[in-house]
Amino acid sequence: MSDHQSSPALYTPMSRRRLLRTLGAAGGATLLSATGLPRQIHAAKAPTIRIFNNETDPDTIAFLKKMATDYKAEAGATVKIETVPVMQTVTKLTTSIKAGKPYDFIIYWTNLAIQLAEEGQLAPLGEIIKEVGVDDFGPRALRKFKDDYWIYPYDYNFNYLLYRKDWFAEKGLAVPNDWNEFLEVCKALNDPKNKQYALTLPFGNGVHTNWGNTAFLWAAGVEFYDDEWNVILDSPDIKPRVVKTLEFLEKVSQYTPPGPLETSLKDMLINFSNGTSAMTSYTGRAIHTIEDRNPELADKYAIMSYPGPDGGKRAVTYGDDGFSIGKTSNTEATVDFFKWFLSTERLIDYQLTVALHYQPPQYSTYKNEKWRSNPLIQKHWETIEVMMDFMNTDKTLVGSIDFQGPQASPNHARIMTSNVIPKMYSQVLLKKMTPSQAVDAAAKEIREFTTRS
Amino acid sequence: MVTLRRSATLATPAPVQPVRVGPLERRERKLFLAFLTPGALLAIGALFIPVFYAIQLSFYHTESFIDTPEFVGLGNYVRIFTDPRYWEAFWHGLFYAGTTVFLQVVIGIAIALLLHQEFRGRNWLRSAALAPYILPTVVVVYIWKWLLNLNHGLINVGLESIGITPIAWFSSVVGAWFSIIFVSVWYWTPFVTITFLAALQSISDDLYDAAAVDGANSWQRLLHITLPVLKPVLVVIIMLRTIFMFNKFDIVWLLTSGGPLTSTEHLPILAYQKTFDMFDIGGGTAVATSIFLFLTLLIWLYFRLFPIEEMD
Repeated sequence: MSDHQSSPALYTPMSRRRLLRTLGAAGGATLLSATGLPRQIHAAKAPTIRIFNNETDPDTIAFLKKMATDYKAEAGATVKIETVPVMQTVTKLTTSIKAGKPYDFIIYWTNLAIQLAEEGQLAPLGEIIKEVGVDDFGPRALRKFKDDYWIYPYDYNFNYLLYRKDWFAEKGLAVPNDWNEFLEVCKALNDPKNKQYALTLPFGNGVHTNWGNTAFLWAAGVEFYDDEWNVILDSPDIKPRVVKTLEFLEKVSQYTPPGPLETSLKDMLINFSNGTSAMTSYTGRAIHTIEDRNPELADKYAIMSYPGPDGGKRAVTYGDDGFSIGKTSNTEATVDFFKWFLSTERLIDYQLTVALHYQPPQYSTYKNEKWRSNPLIQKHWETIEVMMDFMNTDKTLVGSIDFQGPQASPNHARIMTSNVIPKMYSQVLLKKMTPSQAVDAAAKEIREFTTRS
Repeated sequence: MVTLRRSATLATPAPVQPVRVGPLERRERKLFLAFLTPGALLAIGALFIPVFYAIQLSFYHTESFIDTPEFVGLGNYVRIFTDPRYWEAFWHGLFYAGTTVFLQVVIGIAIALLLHQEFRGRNWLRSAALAPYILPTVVVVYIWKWLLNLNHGLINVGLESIGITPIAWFSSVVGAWFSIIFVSVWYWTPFVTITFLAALQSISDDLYDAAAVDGANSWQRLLHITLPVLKPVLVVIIMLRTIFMFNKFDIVWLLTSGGPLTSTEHLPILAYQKTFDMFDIGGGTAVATSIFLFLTLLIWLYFRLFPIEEMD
C-alpha cells in the first residue's frame, strides 16, 4: 500500500457507484443548462432583457445603463446591455440566434432587420407604431415588410456636408448648386501646401463610405434595381449617371487630403474640427466634436445637402438607425419594456445623449419641450432647421442603399457589406479602371449575389 | 512479464489465458480516463464539431446561420474554384506566408546567434527581444496603425520633418503589402528567436572545440555544426510558421481588411468576407475547407521531403 492510500483524507477510492453517480449528476446538470431550464425558471420569476446595442457613444452607453437601473427599480426586470460595433452586427446577431441566445431588444443599423424578419426572428412592431401614429413619422422613416413594421426608427442619421462658412465668406463662395460649382468651390478652398484641403470624403471599403459617400449617386438619380429586382446599374438609362458620378468623384478626390482610400470616420471628424479641411461629410456628431475639441468653430460652420449634377433637387443619405424586438421567450416582457421606454420619454432622453447627431424621425419630437430646451439644440437651432429641411421631400431627395428595389430586402445588406460601391470607387482611383468598366464590374457582382439569393 | 509468458507459450501451444487485471491497474485505467475525458470533450466540442459543421455547411447553400440550408453537393466548390478572386487570394496567401516565414527565420536565426554570444547585458537584451511576442495582436496592430497613419502618424510626421512626402501606407498596393509583412515579421520573429536560442544551448561545446582544433573559422562552424544540428528544429519551425502564416487572419484583417480593394486579400480573409459580409456561408466554408485540405497536403508533402526521424 502506498503512502497516499494510507491517508483517508488524501485518498478516497472511486467506487463504480460513485463514478456513475458523479457522471449522472454532471450529465444532468449539462442537459439542464443546455436546454435553458434554469434560465426559463429564472425568467418566469423576473425576466432578464438582453439588449444588443450598436451605439458606442459613451453618453449613450451611460444612459442605457442608468435606464436599466431605473427599469429594474420600477418593473423588477433586469436589463443587460451588450455594446457591439456596427461592423460586427451581422456576425453577432446571427450567431447569437444560432447559439440559442437571441437578443430581446436590438438597437442597430437596421439593414439586417429585414433578413431577421424574414427568418421569423423579430416581433412585429406595427401595433406600437400605430399607437404612436404612423403620420408622426417623417418621409421614408417607416418601411413595411410582409405587411408589418419591424423597425422603430430613432435616428434619420442623414449624411450631409458640413462646411466652414467663414472660409466660404473669405473667398466669396456660395453654397454650390451643381457639380461644376462644387468643383470650383473645392478648387478655391484647396491649399495643400499649407495642409488645408477642400474636402474630407471617404472612398475605401466600409460602412463609412457606403453611408458617407453615396449621396452624389442619389443626387444623380442612380438606382441599383428595378421593381422586379433586376439589376439596372449598367442599364442604358442608369449607367451614364453612374459613370458621370465616378468621373466627378475622381476629380473631387484631388481636393481631399492624401490617401482618400484610408479616410475613416475619425479622419472626417478630426480633419474638419482641426481646420484641415473646409468641408466634410457627416452628421451632427461632427458638431459635437467641434463643441468638444474646438468650440471656437461652433459659429463658423454650416450644413448643406449634396448638390445634383446639373442643379435641381439636392440629396442626403439616410442612415437607418432603429430599434427591433427579437422573437424570444422574453418578447412579451420586452414589448412591455419598450412601451415603458416610449411612454416615459426615455426615447427623448436617449436621443438627447448625442442631441445633434440623432436626428429624430418623428415630427412630435421637434415640438417636444424637453428636446427643444436642450442647450445644444437651442445653440445650433439654425442647423436644426436645415436638418428639418432634409425631411421635406419637395426640397431634398433622401437616398439610401436600403431604398433600392421594390421593397425592403436582404439584398440591401448584401450591397452594403460586400462593399460594391466603395470597390467601384477604388477600381477607378487605385486600379485606374475606366468608370464604365468599374460600373460593369459592380453590376456583375450585384447580379451574382442577387441571383444566388 | 506478460511478453515473457506469451513467448513461453509459443513452444507448447495452449489456450491463451486472459490477462488478469488487478485493482491497481483498474484504478489507473480510471485515472487515465479521468485525465483523458476533459481534453477529449474539449477537443470534440471546440474542434471536431465546428470543423465537421463547417465542412458540412460547405455542401449547402445558406445565406446566414439562421437560414434553412439547401443541399448543393459540390456546387460551392465548383463556384469558388472557378472564381478568379479565389485564386488571386490563394497566391496572395502563398506570397504572404512565404515572405514572412523566410524573413522571420532569417532574422530570427540571426538574432538567436547574436543573443547566444557572451556579452554584458545579454539577459536584458534577450528579454527585450521577446517583447513583441508577449503583446496581444490587437495592441500590436493598433500601435503600428497609429504609427503609420497618413495624416497624424509618427512615422509620416518624421518623414515629413526630413523633407520626405508622407506615405499612404494603406492606400497603395505596395504600401499595404509592406505594412502587413513588416508587422507580421516584427511580431513573430521572437518566436523563431526563442526556439532557436533554446536549440543553440543544447549544442555541446565539445563540437565547437573540436572544430576549433581542426582550424574551422566561425563561418565554417556555423555552416557545418550549428545549422546541421539545428536542422530538425528548422524543419519544424518552417512548417509551423507556414501553417500559422497561411492561416493568419488577425494582423491582415486589422491592418488592411484585405484592401485596398482586394490587393492583400488572402484565403482566410476571403472565407470571412464570403461568410459574414457577402451572406454566402456555403462559399465561405468551402474556402475554409479548401485551406484545411491544402495545408494537410502541404504538411504531408513537407514531411515526405524532410523526414524528421532521419534527421535525428
